[in-house]
Amino acid sequence: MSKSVVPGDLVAKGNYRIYSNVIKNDDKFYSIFVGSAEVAGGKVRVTRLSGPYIPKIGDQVIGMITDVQPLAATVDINSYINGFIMANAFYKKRIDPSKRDLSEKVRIGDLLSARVNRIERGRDVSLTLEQKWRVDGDAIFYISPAKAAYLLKSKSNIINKIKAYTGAGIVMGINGLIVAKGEKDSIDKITAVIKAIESQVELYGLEDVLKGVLS
Amino acid sequence: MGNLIVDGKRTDGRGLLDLRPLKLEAGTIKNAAGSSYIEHGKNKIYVAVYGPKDSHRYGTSMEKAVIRCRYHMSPFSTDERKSPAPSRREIEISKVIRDALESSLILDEFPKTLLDIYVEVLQSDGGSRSASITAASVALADAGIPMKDLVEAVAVGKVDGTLVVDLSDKEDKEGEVDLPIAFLLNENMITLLQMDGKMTVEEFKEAVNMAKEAAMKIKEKQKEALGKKYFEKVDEK
Repeated sequence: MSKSVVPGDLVAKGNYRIYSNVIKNDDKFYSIFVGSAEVAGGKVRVTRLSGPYIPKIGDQVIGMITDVQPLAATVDINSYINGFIMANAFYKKRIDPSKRDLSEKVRIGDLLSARVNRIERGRDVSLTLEQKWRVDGDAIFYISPAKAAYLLKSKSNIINKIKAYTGAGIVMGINGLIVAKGEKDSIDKITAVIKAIESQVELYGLEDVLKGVLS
Repeated sequence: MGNLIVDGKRTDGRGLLDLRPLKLEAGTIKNAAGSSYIEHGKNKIYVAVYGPKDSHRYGTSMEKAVIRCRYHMSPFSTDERKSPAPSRREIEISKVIRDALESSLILDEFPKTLLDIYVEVLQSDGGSRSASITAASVALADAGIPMKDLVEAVAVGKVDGTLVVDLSDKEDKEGEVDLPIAFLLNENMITLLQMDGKMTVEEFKEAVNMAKEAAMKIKEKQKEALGKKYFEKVDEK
């Protein structure tokens, strides 16, 4: 059973050892985000509904190259911080900068699928490439990172249902980027689906809304 | 002087402890990460929050996100045209709004970033700084910035020798004392306290308690505004 909370709302009172997105004040736990609170199994947790993408190790993200240097590329990952990829990830071996240049592999504006590898405080986020890293598409959509995380983690496999309904190839990152590839008809359909996702503000009705659109 | 309170009623018909009509909305500016709009008495104020955004400028910190706040009154917000250049008063209010909000926010998750808060006053009345703080706190919550609690601010004051809550422009100018206070109610903290005029210690204590009562009412409005955006079913347009 989840409860809607805003910052400063009392989520739980008592002795809980595991908690996230709450602040502890004596034995009271207050939410620090607008979101849905759950108290179960000795855990207090708030799933936030708004805010920027906060990178975590292991996250699969979609990024756009914003700068290419001989040995590294800067990637915009739709967050408050940039990502970067070292050149050897593209070549799968050490490379000699006097002979090779990363600009022969990627260009500014290229989209890629990557995984968060290392996070250092105050530094750009280090990324590694996915197996199929190059992402081509006819349209890019941005949805809120909170919704992207919810859709990707949902048990009813919504992404596959959207793919089946629209007939478009879809790649989605947990940072809120969706890249679609397909005919104009498919792109129109996915535009409508994204619009439905954006119009539903609350997370816990999202599946029902999508079922309505996809049926 | 001397005719601001008649038979326990103020010039606009309110009782001593009554707030002016308060309307608060969240998510009014689509381009911003978070935004809000407040109408408090005759005040009409938009607040937009942008960020946190990556920055390598001088002035950023490795410890936390740095807040920049700009309080600005539109040239048409007052009776006579106000020069759009930032005045001494606007610079001061930008600073106190930033300080009042900063202690509520948990910013250490965003090192080397900037957080911009823009406060634009479209129509001004008494207590625009407290209305700005109330609205800015909602805008920050809308932007998903982690915070300990919402901040709510209200001005109390002394008019005709009597303590009153939520001063209007006339009471602010002609009254004896103006005391804007901002609260973090869960933490039992005061994040803004300015005083213009003189009060006894007893009066001051009573004024703070009166402001706290009013802040609780304002907090309900803030929760309502956020709830309306995030938890009410939206009709498909």
